[in-house]
Amino acid sequence: MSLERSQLQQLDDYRWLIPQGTKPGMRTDALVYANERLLQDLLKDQSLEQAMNVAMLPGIAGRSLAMPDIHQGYGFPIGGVAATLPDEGGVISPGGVGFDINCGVRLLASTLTVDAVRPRLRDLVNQLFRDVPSGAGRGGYVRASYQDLERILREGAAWMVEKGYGQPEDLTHCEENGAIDGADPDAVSDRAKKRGLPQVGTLGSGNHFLEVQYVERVFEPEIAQTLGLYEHQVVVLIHSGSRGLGHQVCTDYLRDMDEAMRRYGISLPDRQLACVPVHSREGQAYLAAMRAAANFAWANRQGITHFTRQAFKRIFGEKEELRVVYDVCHNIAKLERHRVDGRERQVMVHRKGATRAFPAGRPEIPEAYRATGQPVLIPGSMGTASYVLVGAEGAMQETFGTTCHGAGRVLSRTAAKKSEYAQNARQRLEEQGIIVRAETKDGITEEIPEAYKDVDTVIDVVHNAGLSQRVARLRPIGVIKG
Amino acid sequence: MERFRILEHPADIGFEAYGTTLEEVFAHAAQALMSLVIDLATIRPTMQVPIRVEGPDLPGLLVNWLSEILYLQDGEGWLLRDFEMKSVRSQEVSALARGERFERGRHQLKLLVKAVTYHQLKLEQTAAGWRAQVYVDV
Repeated sequence: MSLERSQLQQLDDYRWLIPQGTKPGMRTDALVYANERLLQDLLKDQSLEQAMNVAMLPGIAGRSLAMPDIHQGYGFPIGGVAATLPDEGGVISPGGVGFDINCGVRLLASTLTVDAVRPRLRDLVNQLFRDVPSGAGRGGYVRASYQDLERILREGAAWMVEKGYGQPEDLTHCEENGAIDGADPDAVSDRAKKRGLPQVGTLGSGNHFLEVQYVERVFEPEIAQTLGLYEHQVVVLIHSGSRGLGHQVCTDYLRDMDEAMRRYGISLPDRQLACVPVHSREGQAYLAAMRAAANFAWANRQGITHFTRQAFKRIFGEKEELRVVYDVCHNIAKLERHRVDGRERQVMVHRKGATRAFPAGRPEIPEAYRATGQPVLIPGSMGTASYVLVGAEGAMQETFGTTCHGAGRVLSRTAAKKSEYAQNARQRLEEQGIIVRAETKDGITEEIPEAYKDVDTVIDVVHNAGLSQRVARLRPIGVIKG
Repeated sequence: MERFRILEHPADIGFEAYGTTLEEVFAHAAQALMSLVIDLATIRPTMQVPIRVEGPDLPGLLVNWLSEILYLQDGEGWLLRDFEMKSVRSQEVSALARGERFERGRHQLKLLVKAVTYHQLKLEQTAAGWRAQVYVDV
């Protein structure tokens, strides 16, 4: 079934409601954040259908939410948010987190301007390409034993810092300080560990990247100053996750839940939506493993940070020290306290391609940023723009403290590869002053800018809908792809 | 007979695999999966790996079978090309896979597949035999 425009109720310029009764089995409404233009794309694929399916999850609180970068995923749409009430039979769904557990984004700030970096840009990109492998052909350079991995799974980025791959200040500028509580390495299979061990400090392929960018425009000078960002400053944006370890954890638990959900009498329209009650043995085991994988992802981004710093030092001298601005995860499920039906409740918030966006004052935000709101990092597509935002009050009221996570695909990978744009993608980017290096054959052609929605439009929607506040726009000059 | 065909998906990628028998459709699905990762012609079938996998039902078994091949690639560095199916029963598949270990310089990966999904998963009988439909996360 594909949704007709007439089945959506327009609430305002940025909000569209799909009422509960639109599809049998929905337990609540679905709310879509989009403008007219983005909505046209959404009606073409299955993403709204998937948002309706998410509204069928047992114990769902509030509405099934779709961010403006939503696109068709498996089971859950990418750009989907769902909170469930554990005390009312609410479920946890591995598909609502995704295969790349704690896929996320980290922003590093340099002390250099774009004019200072341009003359050495090619050397810098080549150095970064050597030092930060994708994992497709080369493993990572972080030395860790199987015993170390157990600690990485518990301690996340902190283990890396202890071993010299960073500084203690890096940790306070990560969501959850770079390690989430409740991780259990024993809940992670040996196979997942085996996949993950050589991959600490690797980017992965697909849409993952490391970009050298500069701050092209500041929208909120005071907030930008608090974040240590200013126009023409060179920054580095890292987009990576928990690599094979997280993918295997999701694979393992999907298999378990596929069988277990029948015992709990749960039936949903897509097998990929497999879920069990949060308060069940299987649910708790998955959460312990998911958190361990999330910690692995923070360790991974910490490793990439270390080698990025080394590359900058090699090119620009020992004094050049990159600072971690912030690190967010956009594929995760977290127990948080939110207002539901007028009172504060504990909810399991699934963010599948969606970013936490807590407003000023929340205790989860590092002290340095508590007055501005949590930094939100939105990677755009290769060669376009990325954004820094901060969380806003509207997110707490409507979206369980959540905003979008990226641009969102509009072209399939095969269509992108075949398109006329792909033929000279590298050359076109070079003409715009962007140097690209990719390890896999399809790394560039499948990720061409034309394969994505316009990131500026996506940001307009979350900004104007009050989910987060636009602070700065970043432009890439160097791209490392998996 | 065509062995497999790549399918489009807005975010990721999938494939259809065909076979006159259940064994054949499983073998061709495995080749389709590996063809996403690497050009099959560049794999030399010089070594062999026995594979045995269980599953709750036939489509679930297919996902587990493909997940196993993916694990062998990403976790152990195996590039597998030919699949000699010993048996495919409703809840168990056993096979002998042939290929070699990844060697940097000689092999170039096209992309890394993260996982095999249950999304729009199909394994059905057709007039010509069997047809499988699988989407993977990349």
